[in-house]
Amino acid sequence: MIRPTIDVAELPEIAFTERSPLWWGAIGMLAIEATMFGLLMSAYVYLRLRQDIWPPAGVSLPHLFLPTLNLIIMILSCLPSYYASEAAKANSPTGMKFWLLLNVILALITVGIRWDIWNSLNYSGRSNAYGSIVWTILGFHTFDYVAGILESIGILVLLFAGYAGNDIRKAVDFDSYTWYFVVAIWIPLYAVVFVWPLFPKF
Amino acid sequence: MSTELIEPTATDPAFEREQRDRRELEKTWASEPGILSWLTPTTHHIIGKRYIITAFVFMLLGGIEALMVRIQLWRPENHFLGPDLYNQTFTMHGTTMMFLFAVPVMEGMAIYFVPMMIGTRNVAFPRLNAFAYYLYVIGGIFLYVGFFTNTGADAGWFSYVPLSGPAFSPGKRVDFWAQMITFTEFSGLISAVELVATIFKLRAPGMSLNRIPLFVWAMLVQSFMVIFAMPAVMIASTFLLMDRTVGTHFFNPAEGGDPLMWQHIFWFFGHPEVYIIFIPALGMVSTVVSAFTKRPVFGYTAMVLSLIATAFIGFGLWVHHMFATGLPQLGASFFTAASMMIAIPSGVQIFCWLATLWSGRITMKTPLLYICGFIFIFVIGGLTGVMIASVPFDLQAHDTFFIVAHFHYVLIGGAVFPLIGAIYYWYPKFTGRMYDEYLGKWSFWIIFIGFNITFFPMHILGLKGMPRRVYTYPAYMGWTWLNQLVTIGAVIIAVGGIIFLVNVFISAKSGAIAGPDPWAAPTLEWSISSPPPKYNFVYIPTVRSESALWTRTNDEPVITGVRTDRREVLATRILDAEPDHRYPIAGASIWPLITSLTVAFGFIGSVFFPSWIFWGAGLTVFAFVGWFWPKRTHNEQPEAAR
Amino acid sequence: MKTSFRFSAKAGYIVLLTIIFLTQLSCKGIQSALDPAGPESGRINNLWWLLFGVCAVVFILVITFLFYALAHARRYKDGAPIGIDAQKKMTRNISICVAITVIILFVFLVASLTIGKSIYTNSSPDVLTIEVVGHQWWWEVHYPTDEASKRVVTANEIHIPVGQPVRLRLSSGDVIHSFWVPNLQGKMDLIPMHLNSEWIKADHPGVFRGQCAEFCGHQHAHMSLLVIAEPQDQFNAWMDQQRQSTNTPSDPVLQRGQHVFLSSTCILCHTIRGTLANGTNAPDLTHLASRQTIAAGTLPNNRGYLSGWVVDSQSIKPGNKMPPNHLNPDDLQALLTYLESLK
Repeated sequence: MIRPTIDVAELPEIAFTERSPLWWGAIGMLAIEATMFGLLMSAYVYLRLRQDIWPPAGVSLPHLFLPTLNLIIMILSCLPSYYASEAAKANSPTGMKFWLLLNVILALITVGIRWDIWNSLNYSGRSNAYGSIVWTILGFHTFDYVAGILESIGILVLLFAGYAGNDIRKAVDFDSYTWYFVVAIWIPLYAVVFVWPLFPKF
Repeated sequence: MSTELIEPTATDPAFEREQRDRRELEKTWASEPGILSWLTPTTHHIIGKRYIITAFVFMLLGGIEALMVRIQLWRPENHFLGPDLYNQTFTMHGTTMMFLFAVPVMEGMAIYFVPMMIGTRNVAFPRLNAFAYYLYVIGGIFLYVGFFTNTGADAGWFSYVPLSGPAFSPGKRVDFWAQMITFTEFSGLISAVELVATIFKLRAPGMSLNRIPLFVWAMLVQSFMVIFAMPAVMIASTFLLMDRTVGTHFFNPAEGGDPLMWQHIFWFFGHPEVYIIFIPALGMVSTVVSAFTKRPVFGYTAMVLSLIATAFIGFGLWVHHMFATGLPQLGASFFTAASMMIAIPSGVQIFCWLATLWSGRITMKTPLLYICGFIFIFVIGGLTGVMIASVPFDLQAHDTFFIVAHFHYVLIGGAVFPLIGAIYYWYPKFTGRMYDEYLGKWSFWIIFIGFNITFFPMHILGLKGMPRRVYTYPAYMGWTWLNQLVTIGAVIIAVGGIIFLVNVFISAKSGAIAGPDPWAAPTLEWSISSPPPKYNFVYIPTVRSESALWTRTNDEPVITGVRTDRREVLATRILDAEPDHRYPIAGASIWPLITSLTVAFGFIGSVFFPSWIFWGAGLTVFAFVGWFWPKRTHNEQPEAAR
Repeated sequence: MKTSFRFSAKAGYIVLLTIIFLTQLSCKGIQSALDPAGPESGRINNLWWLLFGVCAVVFILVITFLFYALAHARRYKDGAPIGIDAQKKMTRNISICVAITVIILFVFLVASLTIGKSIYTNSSPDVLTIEVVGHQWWWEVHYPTDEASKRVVTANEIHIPVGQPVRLRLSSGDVIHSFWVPNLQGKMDLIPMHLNSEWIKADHPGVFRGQCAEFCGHQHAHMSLLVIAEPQDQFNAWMDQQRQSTNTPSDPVLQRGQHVFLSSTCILCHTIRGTLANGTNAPDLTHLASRQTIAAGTLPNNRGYLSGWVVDSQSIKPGNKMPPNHLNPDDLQALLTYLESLK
């Protein structure tokens, strides 16, 4: 009695994007984070609509220049991240190192600018509900952002230490789409936190 | 319809090969030796079993709390608990049952059975799975440490602000509650992502979307609900904790915050939560109905679409918990319509099960008895649900014992009855032995009758004006003897529960040997030995229908070539489940435990000193470094070389 | 068939019990939702009986079919597939059931929306507006007056004239409470910084009990109130009396009692109009003796209970905001006499 078999030994042991379980795991995690940021924005809108004067008296808004510059640099930093993931798919350690390093440098610049913006705010999370929600949005996103950068730095260290192989390739790929996410989610948050209060009629 | 595999004979070369593969798999999937076997396992059987056992321990605690509540309400002006302990007790009861029992036990059942039912060896991210379990158990213990040290949460399981805020709940009680939420929801979210990736990518070849067993479908739908609902309660509890510990003003009306925002965010989670508990139970009902009628459930597509519709509508109902807050009428009407609409998919499923029962060949064993009990109780709960969807009637019923009756009919009838039925059904698979049918039927009738004696009179109490969460009531209200009836019913349920546990424990030692498939059931978990081997399948099977074993023929192929010398599974395509690639997965690891401890350090510490959240985060970074430390240093050969 | 027969007998017994319960109970009561005394609760009561009747029929049909299915299922032999005709028939029957469900839901929806609209609106121009403020754990009640000096403030007791629509304006001084007098109307929450309102109207004189319905802390259970509906002239007399301030008593015992009151911590929280006491953290006591209960319905208002409450309220209603008062017996008796004089 011979049972028919299908032999899968020839199949690859790495796959990218929607073929990979890891990608679905990442999509799930990003969906959770997106829901969180969506809820934070909803909370902002809810609090905003219950007030006549927004932001409350005594709050001075930061100038739009630095936040906008920062946003542009953040979006630009996605390019090296993309090339790093392409290098991972092509299994090119040099490419991964170079593009990931560029990505980390750009990211660190944006963190510095954000630090500066944050320090310039004349209210805190304890001042009033406006301060609470703005600081919380900034805090959650910064936490996420810094975690993303630490992840990239960790991978970079391993790459320069000579580690290679499928795990690292998957990690670089994973790192790229989590990075797109933290940057993309900042666009609406930026609009809500920095742009919307400039139009008190809306 | 054959359920038996051809037994290969000893002289068969294929048989020898199978023995060799089996030995190697045993070695590859073996636990670590000694104490490490307790701290490092990542196989889904062990994690799933731990989830289920832990959840039942919490259910016992929650049950004891329920009995304490009932003793307090036995007679008017009773002094058994007093207001302070009573408020802690009912809060702990609700919190335990919702967050520490109902959701985790469903996750546990899924983690145990889904990989077997879809024909793979483990979940997609085994270490993350273990990590989620540790977070859950630490969160639960944390809450109970609070309760036993007189720091039990006392603001109700939905902790409305401002009552739960810094001004009216000083001390640490509500902080313990809020941080427990963070732990358990974090854990639930991880499990959900885990299950989605597992169900999407690791199904046996041939198990296309329209052949997924209904329980697996239910878990998939539930996991998506978790992903979009649970972040809300984490945000809510974080806001609350920040208001309480660092002085933000989210819910403080004097500084531009709003107490109603809490209710919106909480119920945006809280209503889907009910379906997060209920939808897996629907999957269990379908599984049991199919196995004991010897028919696939009638209307597979309708069932799946109903599950999905329930999940979608479930997100549009949250305001029906807030009808008495004075919202605009137009908005309330929308939520009335949505709340009534959800009766349609529920109705479709009930009708399909009835049709299956009507057209099937019934074996009336304990699991099916529980399903019949489910239909009886759940229909009552569903109908009272339709009643309270109506704003005017809800304004009378809201926050009374009518609601208490309603949600116990829905949650115990809708989720716990199918769960117990499913546990009886899968008991042979868990233990390799049969449960005692006689005790099983006795426990059913006692629980069923006790349940109705407990919860039916509550409808009447509510209509007679008894609000929920009162620690006592005056004698002249005429509520006394109904309350006594309720308390008697609660004791009867407890007796039935004890018989159930006795059955579970005794049968594990002395039950008849079950064999792989005592029910001649249709899904893949019954094709392997009971209890299942750590690697589940020597060869990954292939599948031709949603009742895989009923349509299995001798020429149905199995999969070879998945490596046996390391933990590896087969990834298939999401829609048609064609083999795609081989997917190595992690083995035993201590890092999930260590990481959960560093995370717990930050979460628990921050209740006392907010800045500790950063120390915890820092330590967690180190733990993650250990977790993700790569194992190979050289550039691997292209895959084809293997 | 033995099992399913047993099953049906027991379930039938339970259904019977259910029916007995519903016919015997649940209707009459001073806090019953199904004993309406006003048009709003009357409409909700009608809605309930519609919902209950239809749902009871649906339940009985479903359960009957369940028994039928269990009893008749064995005619299909193991392994024999269901014929195409039978499948079509099943699909058709399920579709019919779903259609009936949709129709029932639609009827419920229309009934619900219509009645919802009618209990929220009032066309009568003759309206009395009463303000109710929820506190942990008592109700503060304000009546409108022309002159500020003649304000009417009471606690835990609302007098309304029979037949006149009353608008309640509801708010809260601390946490969320819910105002609920089931004989008259459904509940409405009292939320800090939100102003809610609802209509009540009593069709006949009577005393209706209400209770806080939203969990509000320790003494949520002891936060009730009475709505006393009385004919217009009685109501006017009551209002006239409530407008009065107290006068300085001439009787020496009362004088001593007043002195005890004014020289103790009572005045930090309580008001007695006409004296120096004008605290606002606790019920206004100007007409304490005219009220039927003390401590938000916890105790009947008589000398014995009042005495116990003044001396040690914490043993009666643990966690309430009133401190114990250690008075010598003579002072206590004088104080009680004084309080009893505040008609």
